[in-house]
Amino acid sequence: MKVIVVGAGIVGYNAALLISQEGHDVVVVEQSQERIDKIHRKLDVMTVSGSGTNPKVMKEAGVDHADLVVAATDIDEVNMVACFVAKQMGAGKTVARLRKEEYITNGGVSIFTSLGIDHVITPEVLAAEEIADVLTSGSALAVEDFGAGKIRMMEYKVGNTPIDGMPLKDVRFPKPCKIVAIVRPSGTVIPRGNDSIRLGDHIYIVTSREDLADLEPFLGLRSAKAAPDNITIFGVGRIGLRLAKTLERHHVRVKAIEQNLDRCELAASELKNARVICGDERDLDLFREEAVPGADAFVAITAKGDLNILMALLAKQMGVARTIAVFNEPEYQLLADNSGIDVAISPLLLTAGAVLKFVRRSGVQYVALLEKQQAEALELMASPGSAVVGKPLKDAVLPPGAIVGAILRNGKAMVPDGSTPILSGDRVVVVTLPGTRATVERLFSAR
Amino acid sequence: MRPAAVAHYLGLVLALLGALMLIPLGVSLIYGEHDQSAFLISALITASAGGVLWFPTRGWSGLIQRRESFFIVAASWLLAGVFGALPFMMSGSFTSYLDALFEAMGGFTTTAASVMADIESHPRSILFWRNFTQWLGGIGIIAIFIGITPMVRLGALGGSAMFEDEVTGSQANRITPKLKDTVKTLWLIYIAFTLLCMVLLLAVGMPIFDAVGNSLSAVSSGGYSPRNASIAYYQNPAAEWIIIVFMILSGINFALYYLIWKGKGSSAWQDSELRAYLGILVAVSALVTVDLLTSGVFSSLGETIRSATFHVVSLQTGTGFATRDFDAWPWLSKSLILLVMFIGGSSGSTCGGLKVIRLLVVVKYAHRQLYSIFHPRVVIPLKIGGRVVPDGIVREALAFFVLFQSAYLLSTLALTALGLDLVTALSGVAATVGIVGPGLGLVGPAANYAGMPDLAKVVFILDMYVGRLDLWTVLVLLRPAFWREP
Repeated sequence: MKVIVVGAGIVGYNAALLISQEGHDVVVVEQSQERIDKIHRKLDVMTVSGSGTNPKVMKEAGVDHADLVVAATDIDEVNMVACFVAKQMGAGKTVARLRKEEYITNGGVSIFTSLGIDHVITPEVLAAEEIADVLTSGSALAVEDFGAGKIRMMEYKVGNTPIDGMPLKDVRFPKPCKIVAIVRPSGTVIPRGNDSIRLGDHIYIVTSREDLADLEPFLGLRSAKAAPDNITIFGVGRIGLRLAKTLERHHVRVKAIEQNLDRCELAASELKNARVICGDERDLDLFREEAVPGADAFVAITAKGDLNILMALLAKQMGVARTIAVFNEPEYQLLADNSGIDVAISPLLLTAGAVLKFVRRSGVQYVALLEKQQAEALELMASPGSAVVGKPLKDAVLPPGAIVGAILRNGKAMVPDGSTPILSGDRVVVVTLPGTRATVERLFSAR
Repeated sequence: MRPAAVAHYLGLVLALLGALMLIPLGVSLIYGEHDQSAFLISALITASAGGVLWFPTRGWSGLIQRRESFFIVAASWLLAGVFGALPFMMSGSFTSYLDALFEAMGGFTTTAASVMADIESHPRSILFWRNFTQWLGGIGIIAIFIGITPMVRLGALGGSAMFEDEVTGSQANRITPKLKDTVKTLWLIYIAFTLLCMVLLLAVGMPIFDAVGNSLSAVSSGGYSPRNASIAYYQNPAAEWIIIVFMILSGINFALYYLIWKGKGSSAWQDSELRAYLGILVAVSALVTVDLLTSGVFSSLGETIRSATFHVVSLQTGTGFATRDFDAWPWLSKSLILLVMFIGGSSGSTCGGLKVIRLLVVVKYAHRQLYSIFHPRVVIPLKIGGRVVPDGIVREALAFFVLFQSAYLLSTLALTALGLDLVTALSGVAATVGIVGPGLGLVGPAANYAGMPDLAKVVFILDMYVGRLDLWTVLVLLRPAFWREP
């Protein structure tokens, strides 16, 4: 597949990185020489210097043969025109990164079609959805849905659990589930029967959606049944407002703190029950009196990434059970990981990852990345006549770096054991290390 | 710098080099010569050395860092020379290892600076090895490695950086999105040219061994020939014209051939560097022709034009083939020849030297500076072919120009200190830093580097090495900070 990425900011750079790692031909169109130099040395892609709205530049990038064009600059109008130009010049699918409310909300569909935009991707929407998912699903650090929402993969930090150190093959889980990856500082492991989990490990677990709530206490975690009731949102910009609306639908009490009066008024008029408080975001008294008391979760989403990390940390210290910080600066990742904040979310990296679903490989329904791309979860369709079909799992010769998490068969999710056969037409969730991905895909594809 | 990362790749490169030594072994078998053991032992030593580096680090994988990339490329070329010299020693062609190393470096760097006396007395397999090293060096050791290795993700793991560190000229030659496809395309073009040159030389009556050897050295702008008298041996004007054409082709940016192949020939023809390169070739050839005519070196006009063109092309592209003793030509012709040696071919070609694109940038920069003396507030973007040249490229060209000249001056100083005369020293440096081959005076086309003192040979070897890797890749290693910083 040939992909053109317009703009090499955080979204464009990471999208190009991920897509090229999938083995596709990527051309990056970028105006800044500094960014081009960086790409040249780091990524296996071709670069074209210039603007993505310039037909001459796009021709040089080979837009007429492109299967997918991703317009990922941080200016909506540039992305729209880039998609328009690309479509006019014969590109396959186009994806535009757009953020302005007036473009992405209702009634826009016909505009997009005539602009040549096939898909719209919005960092703010993705971030709001991800935060809402995390907040409404117990103790999860990250949530990923497969099989039309029937299968869920969750990331947890293991708490005090009776199965600490017990070989996984001896563990009797209260509900069928499968641990598909264990992330430790030393690296990511795809567990076998003799591996075990320990306090502090990050684990990825796959199960059917309704069984999750029963598993969490077993792992020493707060259950999704005990999802937070009172959430403080610190900063009500585009993400904050969207998040607040989603949480209201989940019947959560939301308190929103914002220093810009206009935005406060907008939020107060658009939200039904949420309490909106206007005040300086650096006012610690306000923070102590309004943000913390009664809150069992705290989300910092101001425009300033560093402030978000600090405030989330402060909230944690003041006793809020779950804290989430939103920031886009890749440089802060390390800081946030080690700081004690529960969840760090980067809208721009989420966007780059979301682009991956448009570069689907044959047979692959969906791709999700695990911890820092050290592993990925694939939803694969078992093709008729493929190597895995008809055999019990233990004979399906999956490589050691891969594991089957769950199967969606006839619209029902199931967690397989070694004797479960894979049937043709099954949608199978497989977690694999990068090195064995190609083998896994070959096993599932028709010969 | 992590030793495991470096050892892993250097081990693989050495193993590859060992495998490539089996090809001259085949030549030896074909001609029924008695030096098969020389190649077999050399191949075993080289491959085992590679194995020793690779085996303990075989599980290594990960991103190659900036620093490691430079080191791997620079060390690969040095090791290629060090191990590539083994067949010369084992076969008894040389008794001094320094001479064998000189010959091997002259090969891999495509310089064609030779210390071999009576070339025709050596076995054909050894002569083939000389030509073959040039052919390998022309496309680049790392490029060969990238083309052969099954590591498809190498491009993302730092292979792109290694490829750039090896390629000549300031602009990266990425012509397809994936590094591996780019390298393979370059290979195909290179192999196609080589085969075409061979067929044409055979067609005009050159013996097959010579046609193969001369083609390998012409397309790589190498310059080693299997004959003492170089191309003059054949007394074949048609062969000389064929070689002229392929030397010119080897001095053009290979990315342009890809454009032509893709049916964008007209945009390739718009390339400013190509036009300047051809312009310089034609203009200097014409000047040398006039100079030779007025001083009556040759009797016929046809012979004058052919000889002038042959040598201007041969020396500008850094090939180094000769049909005449140009050392005996008038001084104007000799200085013109020195000038084109300095300029060299295009970026992304197999040539060395300053490169035409850098010359264009430096000249335009100087012109702009001159103009702005009287119009201090003027804004003139530095444009080439109607496109503004990014600042980074301008700075690179200026710095390269300064460093290139410094390399000339320092090497010349060192050589005169060793007792060489100025013409020999200056032209010898021009011919080695510019990876050309023959110079003037004692290192002229009628003589070679065999008579140089040992220390001078060391200086020349370093010049060839630095020249082939376009200065930067070796020079960054010389900064103490390169080794100090983590």
